[in-house]
Amino acid sequence: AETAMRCAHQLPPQHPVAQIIDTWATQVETLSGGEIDVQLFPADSLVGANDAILSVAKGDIECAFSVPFVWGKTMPIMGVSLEPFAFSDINIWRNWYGSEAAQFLEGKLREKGLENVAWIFQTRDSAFSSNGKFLAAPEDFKGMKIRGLMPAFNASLEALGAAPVSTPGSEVYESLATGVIDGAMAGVDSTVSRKYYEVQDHFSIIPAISVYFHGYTNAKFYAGLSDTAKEALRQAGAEAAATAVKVAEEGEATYPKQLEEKGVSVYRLTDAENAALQEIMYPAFLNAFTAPKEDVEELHGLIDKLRAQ
Amino acid sequence: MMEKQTEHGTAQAVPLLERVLTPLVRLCGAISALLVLVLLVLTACAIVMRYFVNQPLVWADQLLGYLLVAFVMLGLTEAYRNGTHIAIDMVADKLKGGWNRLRWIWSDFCVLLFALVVGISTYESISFARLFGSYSSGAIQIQTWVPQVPVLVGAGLMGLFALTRLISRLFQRD
Amino acid sequence: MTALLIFGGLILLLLTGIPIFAALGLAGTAILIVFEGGIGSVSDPIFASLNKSILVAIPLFVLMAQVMLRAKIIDDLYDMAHTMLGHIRGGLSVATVVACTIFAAISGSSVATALSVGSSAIPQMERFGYPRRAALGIVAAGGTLGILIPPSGPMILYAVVSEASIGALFLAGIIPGLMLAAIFSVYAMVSATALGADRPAFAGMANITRALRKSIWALLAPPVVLGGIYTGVFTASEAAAVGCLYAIVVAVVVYRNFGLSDLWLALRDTTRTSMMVFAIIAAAHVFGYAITIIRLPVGITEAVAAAGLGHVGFMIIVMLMLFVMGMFFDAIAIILITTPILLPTIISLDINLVWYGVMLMINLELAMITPPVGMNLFVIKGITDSPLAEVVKGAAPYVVLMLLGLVILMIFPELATWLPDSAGYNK
Ligand code: NA
Ligand code: NA
Repeated sequence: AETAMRCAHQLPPQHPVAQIIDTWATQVETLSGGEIDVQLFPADSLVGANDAILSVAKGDIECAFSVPFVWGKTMPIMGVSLEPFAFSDINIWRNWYGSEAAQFLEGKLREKGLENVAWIFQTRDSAFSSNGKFLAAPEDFKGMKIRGLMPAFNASLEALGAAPVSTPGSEVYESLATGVIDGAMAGVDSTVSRKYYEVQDHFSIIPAISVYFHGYTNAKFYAGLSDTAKEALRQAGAEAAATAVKVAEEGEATYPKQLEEKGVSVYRLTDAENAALQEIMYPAFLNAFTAPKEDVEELHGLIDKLRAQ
Repeated sequence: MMEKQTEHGTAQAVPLLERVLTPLVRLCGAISALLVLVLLVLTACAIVMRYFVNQPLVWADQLLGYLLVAFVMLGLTEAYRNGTHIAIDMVADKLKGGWNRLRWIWSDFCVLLFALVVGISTYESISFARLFGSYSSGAIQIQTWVPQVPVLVGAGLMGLFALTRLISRLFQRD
Repeated sequence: MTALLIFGGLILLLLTGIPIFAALGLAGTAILIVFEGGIGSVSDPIFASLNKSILVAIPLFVLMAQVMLRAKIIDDLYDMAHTMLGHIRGGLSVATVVACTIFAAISGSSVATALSVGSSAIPQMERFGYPRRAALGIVAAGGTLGILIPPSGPMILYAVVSEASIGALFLAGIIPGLMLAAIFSVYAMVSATALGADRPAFAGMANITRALRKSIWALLAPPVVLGGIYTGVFTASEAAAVGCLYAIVVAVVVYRNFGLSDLWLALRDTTRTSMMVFAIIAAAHVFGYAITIIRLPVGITEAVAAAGLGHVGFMIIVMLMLFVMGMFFDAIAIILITTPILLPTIISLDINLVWYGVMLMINLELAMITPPVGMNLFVIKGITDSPLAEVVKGAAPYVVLMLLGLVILMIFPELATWLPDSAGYNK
């Protein structure tokens, strides 16, 4: 029998990650022999990014894709990849699917009644945008009003002397255009798709945080699936994870170029410049990071195993 | 607008219930009105702190959202009590006599039903969020059920008010 | 079939005269019970739809209007407009359209525009002998300009989903927005003649100067607010707070007729007026959520996208579909549901995304003044307590005028694309 799997995410349909999710959905349907009918609800059209977790856990919908930010204090350990500059080794993400580190987080999700089925790595690169100058050295951040992200990351911005502002997504563009805020930070791809280059002229590419989307289903729903369907989810998940890393690497090469083609200045920070930022941001982040210490240490250990393989 | 109709009610319990309920509804309405002032002051403070002091209130945006929910849910019943609600009146306003009375009974019944649905659903939502241990992810990190409490209060108030008026309409003699 | 049952059921429920929020909420609940087997999630869309900081602009703009009304600042403004334009047929209607246009340049929301201009303009137009129905219609329609003239919340949402340029869209909305304002004005003047509104003789320059001087504080409000937005002091949604404070300061310091008790009454009225709007917004989300989860609009839109029509045929069918959807859904839901599905077809037919965006916005404007679910109709009914039929009849000519605007824009896409093209936005 055909089982509907309603699946919500926040991305507009042409976003590269949204397209990976589209392919994943088709694969799940094909591999499950039509047992699962994946119904995608992109662009927050059914539930908002912040409500997706509870909607799936409750069973209102069967599946969602979320970024680590939305886990916040609910399960802070999910945000470990946001530690400034800590996980920019691409090998971590190449080796991620099925790794002990992934299983560690999957176990945490299972405790919450969620069965993780996909890891879609998005990017290591963030674009810090501004007008008139690049944000590169710590002193460039002094007094800059920058759109904030999550409390721990905001703490690391404050450590640089910046003033994080909380701006609703729909107001960022206008706020940048008029100068209500001086800068914003986003994945380079989002910077392109949200047209920040229309209103900002300097973009620093900084491998500050690693962002992934993880797809998860309601555990009860998952338990009710046949073995074929579960295997289909596993295989589609593995394929999506592999594609995602490839797409992300290509994107890291092409997005800065796309930005340049729009006529703005783009600068990739040197290792030394990154290190100088890390020295200030990392301790401030960890200080404000609320995940249990032993979890953080254990996960760090597991992630270190994925480096340089 | 229509509150006076209940004066001829014969059900003994209703006037008592109304006497208890009406001040409560008005109190919540007053809180709601004051919340407009809070929204105004908070928004103005956010501008001043960001532009003139360069110390933006990162939590203001999220708090405004929560306060807006409280503003609406606490003020709704008072607005409803005053007859400031909107209905499609093209057909219904032409009804006379018993049919007109039936229309108002039906109307109150529907409001009661919806308030009940919202109340039950919010209660379930709150219980689940507590059980799950869900926290908001923005600058204010509180349990997500906390800002939902006004929805429960608002639905309860609306339900009780609709029930009271429904009973008084049912027992009303012309 | 399902669609017919659901929309038919909603219309029937609405016609029984129960509050609209209850009708929308119960219709949504019924769908969830039938298709999902329970009411579990009804409260989530309610909370999510109200938990939005930018909606704070609605009560604050209403408060601004209330303060200006109570302190009689608005009276001076309309006295001035009447002195200047009274000798022209339908002059005050034109003034109201101009007020809507200016307000649209401040706010990104049509509801806020209709609420603020409406609560002040309608009583004033009546004061000067305009028929009520004409006043209701002009404000309902003029208010919709809020989303076509930048800034515009729905445009940003469309831009994010479609990846069209926000800057280009904002520019593209200006000429069609002014065009609609002009069409509304011309119609108001012509229809005023038909209705035989009396008109006094030209008041003379001396009187105009005197009236201008008296209304200077009200006239200064838009430049103060717009200046603040465009110099980066505050955002478009914060403009409501600044406008409010400005009105309070003028009322207390200049007019000296506004005390604490007036503030309290203004707050109380603000609460009452905003409530019904918010109740409907929240309940519309319940209905939208229910209908989205059963993929009803998705099915309809997919069918249109897959019909294999040419450029013109596709646009006509889409416009029709948007018009019908607009009768039942709110703007946000329409953008989020239809855009992702239609986008591949729009791109493959090489339809200009910015032009399409402007056409979509005009459809969303229409949605606000078409029954049974039209936010601006409800807003106007709420602030005037007129029968809804009266509001619908008042707005009806403007529905036709907007459709005319759509046709003009369809024939001359340059009206939308010229400004962004000359500003260097390519595509
Ligand atoms: Na606008
Ligand atoms: Na409509």
